[in-house]
Amino acid sequence: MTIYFNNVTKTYKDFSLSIPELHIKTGEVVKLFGKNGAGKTTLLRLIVDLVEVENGIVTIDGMETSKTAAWKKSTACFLDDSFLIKYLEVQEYYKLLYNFYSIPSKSASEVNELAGNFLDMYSLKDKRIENLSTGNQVKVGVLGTLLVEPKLLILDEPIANLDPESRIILISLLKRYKANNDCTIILSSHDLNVTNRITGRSIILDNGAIKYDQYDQKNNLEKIQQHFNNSL
Amino acid sequence: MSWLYIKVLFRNKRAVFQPINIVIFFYIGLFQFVVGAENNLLIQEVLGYSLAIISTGLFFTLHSYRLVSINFDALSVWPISYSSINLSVWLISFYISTLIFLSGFLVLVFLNKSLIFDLLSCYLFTIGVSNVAYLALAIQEEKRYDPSLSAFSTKGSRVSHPFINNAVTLCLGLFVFLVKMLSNWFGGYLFWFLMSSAGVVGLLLNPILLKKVDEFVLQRSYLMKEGFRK
Repeated sequence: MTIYFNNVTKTYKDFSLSIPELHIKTGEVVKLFGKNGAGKTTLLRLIVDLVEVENGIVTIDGMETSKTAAWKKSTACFLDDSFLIKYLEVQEYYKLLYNFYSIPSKSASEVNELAGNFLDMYSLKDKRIENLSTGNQVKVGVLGTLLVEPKLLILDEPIANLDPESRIILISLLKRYKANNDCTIILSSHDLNVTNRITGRSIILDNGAIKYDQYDQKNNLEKIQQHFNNSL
Repeated sequence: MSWLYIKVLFRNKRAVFQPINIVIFFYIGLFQFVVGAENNLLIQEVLGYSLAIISTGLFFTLHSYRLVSINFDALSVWPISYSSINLSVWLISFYISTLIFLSGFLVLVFLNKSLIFDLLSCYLFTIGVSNVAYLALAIQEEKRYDPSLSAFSTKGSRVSHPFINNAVTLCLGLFVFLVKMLSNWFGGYLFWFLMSSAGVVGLLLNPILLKKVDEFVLQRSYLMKEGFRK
């Protein structure tokens, strides 16, 4: 799915996000970097119409997100743990998601096959989400977005609460999902090393503006690190 | 699947307590309202108005936003098919509570027909004004108000304030009573007019305030991050 930002601005009292133009093509993996408060979450929320655009338009596949809902069917996002229904068991939560997205339910073994070492569905399926650790809750939420087979996947700092091993497994999962589906992935992160394991396009936001936008090359990591070093 | 929706409804404490509150407050409110009006007992009338207002506040907060137990952000992004979720969660609770509400209303009208306009204007007032009051509190508390829960929520975690809900509606009840006392000099017309107009203004203000709350919460997070950065 393609995403297009045209002259988008969003202003708060002491902060302004301004995206004159941003075009994310179908099948791209976009990695959003930036300091705290740089505007990453606002940008993601603008895409899924959780924040109202002040000026300009945001479209998904040509559909203005604030005026249509058809894009929701092919979009999955996990921005924070409020996307979980914590008093449900893991399996029940997934069943609800399948129903929302009108796709057939997957069995625990199918989920395990997809999740690999990321999440042990057999041991967690009957547990309530509220009783899981923070890391496992994030895993449940992130895996839920993959299970509904989206064409556009949006994740806000999905690896922030994960252990080092799970971070790497998640990136592998995303790579595999991307390889099997022509899916657009947008994820924000602070971990340059781990996110560099998936190739795509790196965007650095700084103070509400895009300061770096490059397709990954060999020395991608050094370039991004250089950018952050320069701003110190 | 329907069983799962029922679980969604009943495992959520708020979703369970709201209908119970509606039943308790509505019928107690109506009882006090009728007794108070007939015997001219001021305290009972205050209590009656307050409880009637609380009950309608709870009723409309629950139903005007349709879904009671899922976060508002997630609801906005998930491709929820109304045909499925409404049938199992919303419609069940809506029809049951509507039945309770309407039967209570009819009982009251049967007991005292002259109260019908008083009640109708009270209901309109409650729909419009109580939610505005909650939203204004949310702005002051710098917290996001989650209409689907009728609760305040911060990012990720929900902080519910059931007492604030009831305190707000109780204050509204007292206000209604004061206006009612004043309007006795005008044969009741002033009461109907003021209550109904306040309700309409409140309804118009609701969407504007909802946006303001969202803006306020996000802005605050930026201010905090800026502070840390400095």
